[in-house]
Amino acid sequence: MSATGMERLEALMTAYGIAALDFEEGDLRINLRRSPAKTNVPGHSLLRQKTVLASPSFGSLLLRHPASATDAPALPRKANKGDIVAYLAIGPLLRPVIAERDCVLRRILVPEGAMVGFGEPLFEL
Amino acid sequence: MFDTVLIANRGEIALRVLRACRELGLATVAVHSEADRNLRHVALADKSICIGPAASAESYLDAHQILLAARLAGAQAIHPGYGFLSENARFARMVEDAGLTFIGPSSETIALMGDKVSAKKAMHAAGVPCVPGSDGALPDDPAEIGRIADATGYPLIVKAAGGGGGRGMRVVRQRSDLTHAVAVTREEAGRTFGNPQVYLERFLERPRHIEIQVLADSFGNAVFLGERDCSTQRRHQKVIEEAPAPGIERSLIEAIGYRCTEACREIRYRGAGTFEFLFENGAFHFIEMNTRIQVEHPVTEMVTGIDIVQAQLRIATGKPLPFRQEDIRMAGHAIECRINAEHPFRFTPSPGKVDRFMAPGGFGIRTDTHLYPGYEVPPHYDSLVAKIVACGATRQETVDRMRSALGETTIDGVTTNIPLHLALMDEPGFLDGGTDIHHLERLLQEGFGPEEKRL
Repeated sequence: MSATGMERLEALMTAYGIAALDFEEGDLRINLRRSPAKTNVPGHSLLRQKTVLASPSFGSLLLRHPASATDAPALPRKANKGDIVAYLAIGPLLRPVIAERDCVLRRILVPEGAMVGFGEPLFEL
Repeated sequence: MFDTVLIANRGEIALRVLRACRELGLATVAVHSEADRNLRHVALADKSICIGPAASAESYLDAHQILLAARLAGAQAIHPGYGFLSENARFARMVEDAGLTFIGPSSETIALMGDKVSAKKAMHAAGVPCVPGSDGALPDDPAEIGRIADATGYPLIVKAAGGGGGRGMRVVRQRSDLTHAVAVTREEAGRTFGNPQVYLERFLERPRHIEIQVLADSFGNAVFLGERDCSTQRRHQKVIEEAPAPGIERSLIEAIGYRCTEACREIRYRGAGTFEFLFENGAFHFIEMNTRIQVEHPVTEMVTGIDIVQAQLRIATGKPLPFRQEDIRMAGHAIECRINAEHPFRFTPSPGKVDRFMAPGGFGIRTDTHLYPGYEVPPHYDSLVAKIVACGATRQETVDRMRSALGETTIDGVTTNIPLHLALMDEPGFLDGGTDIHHLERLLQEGFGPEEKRL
């Protein structure tokens, strides 16, 4: 296989989010592996669009930690990169929803307590 | 007991499982990837949860996410379908440990039958005939391997203990190639299956692929639902399956079927399962057991009248089989064509939007599919988009019915392998029946198919 052919295979793996490819033809064996850090599957980003913060996982949406005595902060409000802005609850498990950049949370798009899925828009930015 | 089933799969089999659940009054939870938001079963399920991105490793193969989704949605049972985690003993164990019901055999049985070396030992012990070969995994000593190979006889095949689906195997025709073949297969087995153990067995030159469908409950009852002939294959992937197998005496099928049910009792098998055999010169040789529902299960359903997915669900709820072996009757003939979104003769995948879809119909035709007009076939998964099943009183009638069904099927927007199936319905070897597993490969090497379709 030519270098161009190899580059084409690599490009296809990137385009379709394929992590591993084994190819064998006669004496030729090619094993291509992509490192997870380089995986670029469409729709994988938390900030699919700059105007929306999407759910990083699934669960019941909580706008504050269950142990918190205070109400969830009102919107709109500022959030800094790395701030926990909500939680996704599955039974006793809480998974944080984190702001990926400095932003203003303008509007919540899902009612609190609703079951949300991966990639579902949660906040309008 | 359970009343809500999480379907840990996608495509046509997810829809098939959903329908069976509904018919039994069970609620359903569909888990899906981002790429599969628009699947039909997702729309029909009582609840649906997107559990991750398109990549299988981050969605359908992520056992933790699936278990968390079951917890979130209140599902007490998980149906794994086929592929993905369906034969993953660790996943089955996780389901059991979570206090949920895995719709299939126990994790111990899956582990036993998933390792080809231990599976072969278990089958030997149960009196199921196996291909002659090494007694377990090969040792490290090349001289000892050579002795085992000589005793087995050439040609032979080196196989990965943890392999399957045609991967992790090499044919060796002479002793001078043995050491290299064992080393390469070991390396590949370790890398691909996480288990470097390999074994060897006699290579059969022109076998047929015949498999026996079994059902077993938790009370020691087991039945076989006849056989399927899955010899029309390309690169170890089945293309057409049929039941019954043409030209094999019923007494041979009965004998091997009873051995399989005995083996089920020996290993305390529970659920639906398939014993796969190579059949050559009138003899069956066990190759592996699939501890899950098979893609091709509809052909058995059509000739026996038994809903195998419903049977799986009933068994999982702890009910005994509602029939005995003497109640099982095979009537007529059934053929299934796997419709893939791929070029019919070059086999390159053809993902994309289905602009128009019209399924075939009429007496004796069944279509299991998740397709609908506007559906987008994603590039991330298996290319199977439909299974067309024809049944009739005779094989000839069934072939004629299949030819007609294929001819009236419309799938626009993506390329499918329907032209390959149509060509096979007129191919003399296939029409005669009883072809071996290399028949289609030989045809393709000879340029099989209409000239204009191969461009």
